[in-house]
Amino acid sequence: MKVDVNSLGTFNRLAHEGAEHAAAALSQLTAIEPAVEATKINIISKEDLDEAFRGREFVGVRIGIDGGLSGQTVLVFDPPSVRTLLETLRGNDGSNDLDKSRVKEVGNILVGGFLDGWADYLETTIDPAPPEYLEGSHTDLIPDDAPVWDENQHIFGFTSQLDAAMEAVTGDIYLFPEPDSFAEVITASADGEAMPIPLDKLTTFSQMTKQGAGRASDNITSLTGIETTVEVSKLSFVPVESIPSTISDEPHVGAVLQLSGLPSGYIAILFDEPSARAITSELVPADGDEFSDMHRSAIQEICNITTSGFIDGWANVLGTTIDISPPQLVHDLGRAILDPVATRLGQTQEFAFVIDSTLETTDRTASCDIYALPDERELRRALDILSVDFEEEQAEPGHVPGMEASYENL
Amino acid sequence: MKIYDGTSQPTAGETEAGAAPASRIPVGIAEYAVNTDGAVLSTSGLGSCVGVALFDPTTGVTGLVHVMLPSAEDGVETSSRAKFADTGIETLLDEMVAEGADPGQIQAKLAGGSEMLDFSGPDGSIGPRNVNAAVTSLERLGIPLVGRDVGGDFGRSLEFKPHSGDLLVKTARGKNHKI
Repeated sequence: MKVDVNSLGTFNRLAHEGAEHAAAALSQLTAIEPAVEATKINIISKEDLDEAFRGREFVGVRIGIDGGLSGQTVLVFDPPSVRTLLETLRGNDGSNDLDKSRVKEVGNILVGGFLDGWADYLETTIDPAPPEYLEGSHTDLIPDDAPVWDENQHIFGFTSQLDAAMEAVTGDIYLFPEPDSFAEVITASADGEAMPIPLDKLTTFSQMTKQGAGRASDNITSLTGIETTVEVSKLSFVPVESIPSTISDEPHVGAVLQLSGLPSGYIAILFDEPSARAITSELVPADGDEFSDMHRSAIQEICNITTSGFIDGWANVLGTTIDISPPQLVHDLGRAILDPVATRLGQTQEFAFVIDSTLETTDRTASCDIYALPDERELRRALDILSVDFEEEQAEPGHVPGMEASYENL
Repeated sequence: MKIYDGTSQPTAGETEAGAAPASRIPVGIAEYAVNTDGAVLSTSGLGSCVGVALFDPTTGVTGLVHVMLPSAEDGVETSSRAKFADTGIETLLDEMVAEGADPGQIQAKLAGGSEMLDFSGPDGSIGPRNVNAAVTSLERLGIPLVGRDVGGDFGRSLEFKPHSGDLLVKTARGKNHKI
């Protein structure tokens, strides 16, 4: 299926507005007014989505939808948030029991608000099924019958976060459309200049970057002696102004690189400070909690070998030339690091594809995020030449047959 | 856009010396907020982006906008006027006046516009261009710029305290100061 990038943007805004309707409904029911954080379109495998929610407990509802748009909607909060919400329900007697019927009732109203905007825009009727109560851990979040979009079990979904910081209430609202139903509505809504993206190739590209993350992980293990693995790899479509919010505002250290060629764009490899200290522990003598120049130097070396692992194979698979700038060491607030990348992309595009791979040490003491932010127009050109069923060529370490990526001063 | 007039429930924030506990209103990228009830306006992760704080000391109406790009002509068609320095400051001013601010009394402070990454590009570094565009817009609108902390190669987070008009600038290097 090909989808128009402009239409994807429209649908992203639509999902965001829908989440704002849900937030408004919540503030009418309770005294809590959550803000709607970045709305994303995610393409992620079921397995990785489960992993991304590891350690989370939640309570909420799942509501199947049919009619003008088919699929599943899921609204979840962590249990303390649900207790706070139930406690503040207008007309409540003070009880905050996780009463299933009250959770379903509130969930139904919020999801109804979320869906109203979709139905209006699509000029159709969306029929919600009765809400099902959800309670459990990460593996219970995604319905077993959630629509998958390819043989690699990728899920395509809209996600928005509701956040009321003062009351410590956070929740997520998801929409997982059925592929055929979504193809129908997105085709019908396309207007103006079409900028089609083949969705199946996006999942292939995502798969390719996950393999790159795997090589990066191997390289880190070789250099540091610390076992690391790829935990999660996902591809998101977000407004450029939401790119920085994909990372926390805590200080991070790492490197940012510019890619020129097909595709051009940016790569950022970032560790939070505790992770940076842990991953460099075998390379730098322990010296209190101070993050020293020796740590930064070790991180730069780790970023160098991470980059080569991550990018090696892209040019090979795509058959293109990709020039890579010298990595620029960064040590600053996480969002401030991604901000200049977002502004540069924002000069030519309103939305961006963000590929985020999380590597983690096997003892879970350190993690690293690799962000790939390709120029959207050139990503489309790259996808045109990418074969859906690519088989990555096996290469000897240090030598990639046909490798055309070049490194300036790396 | 967010307008807070005391009827809403923004997030908990710091307390200014001698003042009642202040709530905090977070302002995201390409967003702005106007406030009339003494809440602290905050924004985080300014790299090449610029934060522009406007305040009218006579009425207590304050506003903060977090802009990404210099001019609406620099970006692609978008629904968010707050994304750009020229349209963002203009919109913030209009909303503050609508909330009771006296345009003749409004003052400005700005921070951000750093050059964190040194990459090639056709238009040079966006940080200094954002600062120039913000200063030009303020001059065009007749708003005096009474404080600034711009440039450098580091990120900033801001807290704008309405009672004092202080703009607290925080960095990852621990160099916090007021302008």
